[in-house]
Parts: sequence; C-alpha cells; structure tokens
Amino acid sequence: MEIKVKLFGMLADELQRQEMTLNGVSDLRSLEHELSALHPVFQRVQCRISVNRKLVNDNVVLHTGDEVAVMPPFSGG
Amino acid sequence: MATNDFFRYQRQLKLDGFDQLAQQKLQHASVLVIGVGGLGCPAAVYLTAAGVGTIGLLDGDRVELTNLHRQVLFDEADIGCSKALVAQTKLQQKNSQLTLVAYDEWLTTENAASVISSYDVVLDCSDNLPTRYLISDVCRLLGKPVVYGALHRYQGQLTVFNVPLATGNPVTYRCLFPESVENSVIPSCIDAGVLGVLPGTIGTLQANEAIKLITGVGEVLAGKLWVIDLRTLETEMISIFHDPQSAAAAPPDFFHLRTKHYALPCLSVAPVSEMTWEELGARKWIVVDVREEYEAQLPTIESIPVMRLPFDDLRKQKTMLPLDAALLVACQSGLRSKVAARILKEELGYEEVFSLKGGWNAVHNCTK
Repeated sequence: MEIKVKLFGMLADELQRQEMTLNGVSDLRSLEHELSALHPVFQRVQCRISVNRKLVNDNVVLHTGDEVAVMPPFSGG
Repeated sequence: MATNDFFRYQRQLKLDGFDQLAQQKLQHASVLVIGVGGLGCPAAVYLTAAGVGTIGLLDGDRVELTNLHRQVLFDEADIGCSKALVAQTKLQQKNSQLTLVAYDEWLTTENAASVISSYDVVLDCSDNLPTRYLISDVCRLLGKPVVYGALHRYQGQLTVFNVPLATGNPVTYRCLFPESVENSVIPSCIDAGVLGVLPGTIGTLQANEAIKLITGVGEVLAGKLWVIDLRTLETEMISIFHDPQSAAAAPPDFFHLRTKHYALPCLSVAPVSEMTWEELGARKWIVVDVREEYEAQLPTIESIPVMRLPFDDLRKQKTMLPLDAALLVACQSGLRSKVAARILKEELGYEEVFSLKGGWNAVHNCTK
C-alpha cells in the first residue's frame, strides 16, 4: 500500500522535498514510526498530522489514496 | 452615519450583506495587532482603511533596514524608530477618525492581560512561538478571539482561535501545536528567510477574518487551518479540533499565567553570540554537542574536548561542565545550538557560551 505524504515548513526544508511516498504503512502509528526512522527532524519537531484534510490524534487505519499532511508549527511573522 | 463616512466607505457599503449596520459595528469595534511587522503592517493598513474604530498596535521593536522588504508601513527614514509609534502616525494620516493606540513595548506576562482585555479581537502577528502561546493563553482566559497568522519561507498558515464551534469547544493554539521544548528549533524569518509578499498575503487575510468576526459577514475561518504555498499557490484546508489534553497545559488562571515561564525572546537578557570554527583561536574550549546519539557520532578533534549533551537532556541533569569553561555549543545546522546556548547561559549559569555558527555543516572537515 502506498501512502502519499505532504511535508510542510521546516520538514520540507530538512528532507529537501515537499512530498514523498511511504510503502507498507497500515495506520497512523506505523506512519509516525516510519517517519521517525527516516529522519531525526520528525523526532525533534512536534508535528501535527492530517489525514484527508482532518487533523488526527488517535490511531487511524490508512488506505491507499489517503492524503496525509505533516505540519510543523510556523514561527515567522 | 455621517455623510463623509458614507462616501468614504461607499464601495464596501454597496456589497451584498455589508450594510450601514456592519459599518457601525466596525466603527464601534476594537482590534489589537500584536506584532507590527510583516503580518501586522498589512493587517493594520486594511483595518484602518475599513474603518475599525479603535486599533491597538503593540510592538517593542525598532525599524531596521532588513524589515523594509516586507514591513510595508515603514520607510528608510523610519530606521531606528519605534514600529508601534511610526505605524500609529502613518495610519492616523490614512484615517483621522479612528483611535490608534501605540504600545511601544513587548507582550509579557505582566502587561498581556491588561492590554488585551480592552480589545474585542486580537491579531497574532507575532514572530515567535513563546509569544504565540502567551497570546493564546491570555485570550482563552479572557474569551477573546485570536486571528492567527504565521509564516515559513514561502508558506503561510491562517486560522481563527477561541471562537465557539458547533462541533465542540473552541480550538486554541495549544490544541493545534502543543508546547514543547523541541519547538524552539523552529526557525524564524530571520533564520529561514521569507518572501515579502507572503506576510502581505497572510496579514491582509488576518484583517479579513477580523472584519468578518466583527460584522458577521461571511464565514469565519474557525476550526480550520488554511495553509498556502506561494510558489505554487497550492492550498490546504485542514479541519482542526479542540484537544482537551493539549489545552490542559494552558494556565488555569491569571495567577498561574503570571508565574509561567514562556521563554519570551524579549526577556532574554543574554543574546547568544555565534562563532565560526575559524574564529575559535588558541584558548581552551569545550565543545558541547547537543545532537542526539542517533543523529551522528561525536567528531574527534585534536586538542579540543568534545562532549555530548543532547538538547532534550539540558535541563534534566546537573551538567558536569566547569562553570568557568568557555563553551562552544554545536549541532548540525546551528539552530538548536543557539537555543541550547541560551539555556546554558540564562538558566544554568554558564558565563562564556557561544554557538557554533552554521553548525557542523559549516565545519566540513570536522564532521566525521
């Protein structure tokens, strides 16, 4: 199963891309685990994850085609 | 409505759903703009033009040359002057009938409640996370709506906090982004850069949300986070919710708020000095690497001891460093080390603390 993940703010800077595809992630927790293993910035910065444009806290099952976005705080003004 | 006002606001009075009553609501309303910078300048210009009766302008900063590409109220002649006072003067010229109040000061736990309590709507146009948490906490206690705007390079965020929702309790800034020590590594415009039209866009939309809140025209952006990327004009509209666990971290009353440590940059007594590897010179240094173990091995450097003190553990343990040592704090890119250096200096009492400019990335031949 392929999940497309959009990256925002400093996450996109650190990974040098705005979007990536993750394979074999079945739910939100496994996606978070996968991201942490991929790059330390996901452990350093407390990000919020939305699935299909809805912020999620609890674990949810992911399906092919789900839109996942990882949003860090923005500081600038 | 006076004839003069009728002409002044005629073009917006012609709009569907925007009548003289809406204009009167604006005239009787008060909006506080916190941060008169990239976001606050355009927001204040449009609030002034639209006829918001009382506008507060709070900023303790002075105008600098590097502000001019995005802080559109300021001119070259204003460099060195108070942003709040310059903005007040210029906006008053635009609309002499409004009351413009300048606060040439920073928002602190001491002044926040008294300043904010006299306004109907607050615009969070600040440029740092501690101030954003302080605004959120004070406005939650006072029940004031907060129009939030924030920036990162080409991307902007916009939402309205603290407005009752049909779907549940009001969302606060803490519900969206819980406070965390790690968040201090989020870069500001100074560190990350910003395209001038981005705060122009987001600040203008903050004024738009304030006008909607006051007049009841349209639908306020509450319970939704709007994100735009100016490189592609792609947008995201994300539903956000009240999060009881995160909201519980907010102080329950003003007593707790006043005693809470917000790490406001304006209260920082010791600015962090940066130093490049080449500038180190011959004196005895201890390099403190604040990266986590999983990130990188410690570099081995001849004649300079390097020790690991992960960022997250800074406050947790009594550190073993001699208090009179000259410390060079290092991380991968030079951002976390700046925050860590400040903590070592202000909270842990080390006197000579420097941050390695550009981090290990800038010290090419010493990274491994």
